[in-house]
Amino acid sequence: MAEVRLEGVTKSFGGNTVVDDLSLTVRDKEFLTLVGPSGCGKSTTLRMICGLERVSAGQIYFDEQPVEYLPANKRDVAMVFQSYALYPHKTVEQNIGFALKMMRVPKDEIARQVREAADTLGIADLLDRRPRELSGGQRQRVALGRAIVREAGAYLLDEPLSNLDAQLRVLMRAEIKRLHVDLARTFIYVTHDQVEAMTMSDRIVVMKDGVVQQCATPQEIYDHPANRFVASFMGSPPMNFMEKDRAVLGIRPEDVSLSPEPREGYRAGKVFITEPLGADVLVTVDLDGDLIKARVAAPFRIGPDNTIHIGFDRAKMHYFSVDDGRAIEGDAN
Amino acid sequence: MTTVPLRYRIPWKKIVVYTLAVLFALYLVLPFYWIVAMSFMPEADATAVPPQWIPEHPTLDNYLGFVNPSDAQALVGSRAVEETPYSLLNSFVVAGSTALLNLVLAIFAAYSFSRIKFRGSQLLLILYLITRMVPGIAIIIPYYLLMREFRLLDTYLALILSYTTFALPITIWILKDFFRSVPRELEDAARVDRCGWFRTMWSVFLPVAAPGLVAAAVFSFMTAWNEFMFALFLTSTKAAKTIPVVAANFATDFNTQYTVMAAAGVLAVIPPLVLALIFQRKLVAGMAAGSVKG
Amino acid sequence: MARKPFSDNVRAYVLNAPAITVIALLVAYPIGYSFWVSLHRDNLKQPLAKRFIGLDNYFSLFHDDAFLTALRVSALFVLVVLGFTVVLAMILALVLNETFRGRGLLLSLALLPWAMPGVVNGLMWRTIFDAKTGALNGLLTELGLIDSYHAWLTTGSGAFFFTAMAQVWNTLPFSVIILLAGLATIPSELYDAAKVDRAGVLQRFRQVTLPWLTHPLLIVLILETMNAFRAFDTIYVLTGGGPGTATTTIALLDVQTVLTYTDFGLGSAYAWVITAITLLISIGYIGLLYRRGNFEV
Repeated sequence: MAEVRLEGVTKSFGGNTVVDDLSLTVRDKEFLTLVGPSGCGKSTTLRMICGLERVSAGQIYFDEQPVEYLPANKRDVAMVFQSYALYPHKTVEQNIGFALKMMRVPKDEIARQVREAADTLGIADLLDRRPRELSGGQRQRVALGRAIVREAGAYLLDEPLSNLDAQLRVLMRAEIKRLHVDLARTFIYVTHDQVEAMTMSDRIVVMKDGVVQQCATPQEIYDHPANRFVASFMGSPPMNFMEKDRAVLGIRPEDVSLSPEPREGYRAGKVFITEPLGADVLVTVDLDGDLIKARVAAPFRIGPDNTIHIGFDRAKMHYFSVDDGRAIEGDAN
Repeated sequence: MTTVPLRYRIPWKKIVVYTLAVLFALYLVLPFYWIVAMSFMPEADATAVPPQWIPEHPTLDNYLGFVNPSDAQALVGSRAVEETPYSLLNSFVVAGSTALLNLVLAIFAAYSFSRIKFRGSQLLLILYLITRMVPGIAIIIPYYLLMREFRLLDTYLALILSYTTFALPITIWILKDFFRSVPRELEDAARVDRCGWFRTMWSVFLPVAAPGLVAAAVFSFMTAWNEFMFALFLTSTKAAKTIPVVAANFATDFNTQYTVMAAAGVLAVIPPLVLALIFQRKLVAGMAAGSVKG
Repeated sequence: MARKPFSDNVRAYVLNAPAITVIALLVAYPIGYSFWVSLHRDNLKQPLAKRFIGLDNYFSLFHDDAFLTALRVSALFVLVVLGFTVVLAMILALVLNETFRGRGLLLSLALLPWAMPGVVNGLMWRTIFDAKTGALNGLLTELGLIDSYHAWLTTGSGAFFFTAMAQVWNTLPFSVIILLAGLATIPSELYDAAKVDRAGVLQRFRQVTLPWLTHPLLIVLILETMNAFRAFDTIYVLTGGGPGTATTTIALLDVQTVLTYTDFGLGSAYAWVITAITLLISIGYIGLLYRRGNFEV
């Protein structure tokens, strides 16, 4: 129902440019994630799409309709806020139904839709409570309910999981993704957590300093990072880098293999430290002064300072320019 | 190893704290207790030597006299007695209207300080504060002449307007602090939920800031209720005289019975006292935050 | 319907417009007008003599005995009220800062004088200080401290002292609350550290409490100075300025000049002196708030 298109969108506060000449098309029914370190302009971008922030320059279109001059209440969007922003003086039911009330939907229709949304999110028994009586996870669900109760063209989610504890976050991640499937609407999701971005999105936009670094599917970003920043930001633990002949060689820890005995193409290094992760072990190897991380299957029983042989999967190696960090074409494949 | 016997220590600190607490409690409450007790005494008991600390013949006559003057009081013909019920009503109307008008004006100004970065905001805040510092005596003369010009002497409006100006700066300062504690994302959420600016204020922002609004309203109500000098200048009959003016009339009237005067005093202090006790926490917070009472 | 929103500056001033209008009309204008009046001979009793006399009203203040006396009374009144208020408020705040049973009750009681209108405060103390039937006489007699009833308010120094005491009772709570808020911000670790360093009670007060309270104390000093300097309601009812001019503070003199002698010109000049002194004090106050960072916008 809604394709969101940004053309040359720029935002500056004072003399400070937060979002610089950003162009982007979010396809209808797509789950698009804006990811990047804090201060990269992702939240500002979302707030501009929402209408809470005015653009300094550029255009925003919803289905080819220019909307950049419309305030938030005139745009067809719903939003989930980082702090949830539940109305403390309203019950859960009133919180979820507020937008419908503002759109003059008849009362019984509001009640029906609120109940439906609450059922979807499993909070039907909380409808009479007030936000302060809810746990963090329950508040999160109410905030989602407030968004999904509406038939909005685009659903905007601003770091909705960052206030939850780690376990709940993993759970809600799946629920939101499922919600997207059920609703079949455009979702624009902002996060600083690359795992969320990788696991949830149809496409990812990696931002840094107000500039888009890469916009692609998660797999594409993982396999072919456009530059050194994307390569290091996406993936955990991050990619290893080694400088070599005026190029930077990058290899992900999971593409590094270790051997106690010397092998063809392997180089000798010393075990620096090992960190067991359960199924895997993260081994840091000192390779002629470079600390290289390798993710290998458990068990791994070689202690620090012992010699180890390290090999890189050639097909998975990445090369970046020393000068601007850009990926050098035709590298890995 | 020898065990040191546990010595019983005299809890000096406790003794000092409790002694001081009791002394202060007496200091704070006894004067007020005295006029309350007097207000329930017949004149003869109130002037007894030695004084009766507890009314021996408690009576409501002093209070009832305001609505239904006894023969003796009618004989003395104290105008203050007759005016007391009217002045209480006047005080309620004036203080209530002041609180309301004040709130309306202050909400907009306080909102601007809490949400918008604008040029001259600091200067404007200081200007408001300076207005509060201006002694009433400095404006009463021209204000009196002005009200005379507009034939507003002895009306509610003259009092309401002047009290609103007194209380406005304080109210703005209190509200600006309260408003800053309201999360901005709530307003954003309301905008996304399809509210315009006015609707956002009315349905979301103001209800959330309600505790602050109440505190500010109580402050301005009390300011207006307690004010004396302007009321003395601007009112002359029971049409607009407020309770402090009538209470002061008791003091300057030689015929006054102390018991009746005490009753009037008690009536005058009840509304602000009740408000102060109900909203104790918020008032204390407000006072401490803005350091605001003039 | 693309409407370009207002800039932030315009929006802010539109929001402030009602408040600014009211204040400009009802404070700024009267003050200016009051200065204009103070430049005139303007006495209702001599309507024909009304004329512009420049600063003559102000020059006359230098040899105006009533004014100079009132100024002296006011200054002394401020000193006495301030001294008692600060000491009593400090002790009461320290007590309230402890945890003990009945603390909440004491805090509520402390609000009682604050809620009391100045006029009622005056009435109340009048009945207490009364020469023939007053509670003070009764109490002191029963405690055996005095043999016969005294007329506390008939001597100049007596009236002055007891008026000051009545004022102290009325303004005490405000200072207590500010000091108490200041005390609440002192981290308890500081006291623990001082205890570990073997500091006694008095030393802890001197080394930990007082330095932290400098700021609230200054605010109390400034605001209470201003209050005492303008004190009117209580004095008006309690002594009416008497006996003689013993309790005629400058505020009282001003009201008498205007209400009794209907001398608007001179009254306005008095008012301007009061304003000037008050504004001087308030500059100190604002400077203080500035340093405390109360003006961050």
